[in-house]
Amino acid sequence: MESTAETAELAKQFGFTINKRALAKALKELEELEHEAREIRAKSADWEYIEKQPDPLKAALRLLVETGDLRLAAHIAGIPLDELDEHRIKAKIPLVL
Amino acid sequence: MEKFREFEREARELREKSADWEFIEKQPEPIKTALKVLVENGDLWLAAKISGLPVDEFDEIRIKAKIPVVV
Amino acid sequence: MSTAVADTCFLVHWLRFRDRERIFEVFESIAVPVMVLDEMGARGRVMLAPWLASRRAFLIPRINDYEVEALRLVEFSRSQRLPTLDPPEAYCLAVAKRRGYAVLTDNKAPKYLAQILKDYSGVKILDSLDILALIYCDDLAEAVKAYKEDTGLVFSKTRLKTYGIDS
Repeated sequence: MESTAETAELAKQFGFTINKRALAKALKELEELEHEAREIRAKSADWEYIEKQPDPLKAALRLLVETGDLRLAAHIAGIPLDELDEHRIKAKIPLVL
Repeated sequence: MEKFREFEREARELREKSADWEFIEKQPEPIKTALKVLVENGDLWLAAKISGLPVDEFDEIRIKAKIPVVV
Repeated sequence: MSTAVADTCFLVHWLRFRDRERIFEVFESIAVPVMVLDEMGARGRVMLAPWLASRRAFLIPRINDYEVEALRLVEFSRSQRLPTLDPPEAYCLAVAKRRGYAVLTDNKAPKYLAQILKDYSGVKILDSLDILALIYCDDLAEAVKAYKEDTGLVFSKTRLKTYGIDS
């Protein structure tokens, strides 16, 4: 796992300058938010609906519960994002912001 | 500018009058909406983008829908 | 009033919202990269069409300079513990920085990258909750409830608390 100093060095290689304090804060916030979000998604999901779907849609919905990544799930399913979003709603998978 | 607005108004009226609305209403989405946008503002490129079809394929449908391009 | 560039992961949600037109109380126009439109199916295109037709939204073409910058952002984000930036989000960021637009996205990666990269610290990244808060002020709790009903989105308790809403 990269340290903040390593991240700063890497950023420099890409021509970016980073705000180290903001990085530490962002990582902490993200971890907390993602933990809360994953629990909410897993608890709310209609697993009966999800298991009835054909693959790759089923796999995509499971991935969505796990990661909350709508775009990635749409790519896995091979359908447009808004179509995948329709299935997300039917599967009662909330996205947590 | 006033001449341009006048031309646009006439062009829109012509498109509305000429269009085969029965054909348009039978089209699947988003093609139906794209054709309606075309009648409204005459923007073929934009309407093709909305439809998700290449411009030349959409233009084929435009012709079938009897929507003139007014120049 | 200003312009915002919209990512797909904002539009697919916002376009479902019963009061979606109210976004134009915050922004004069919405810029939509062509690659964002390309990610949308029939429903999204139908919902977006009236905005495009009335010129409240406009399409941004693929521009090499922005694509190069987007790739730089994607490559950097991949090497970090932060969520990875998707190409359309990266493109929105690159456009926003150059053109002075805000970015509309419901993904976390652009927000956090903008916080940590000094070059992008001036770019405003807004998600659905941020826009609702700008529009609704005192009626935010009702608006959040309506948004949840329409979109299936949920807002984190921590964030809602910052807006004075106990969920």
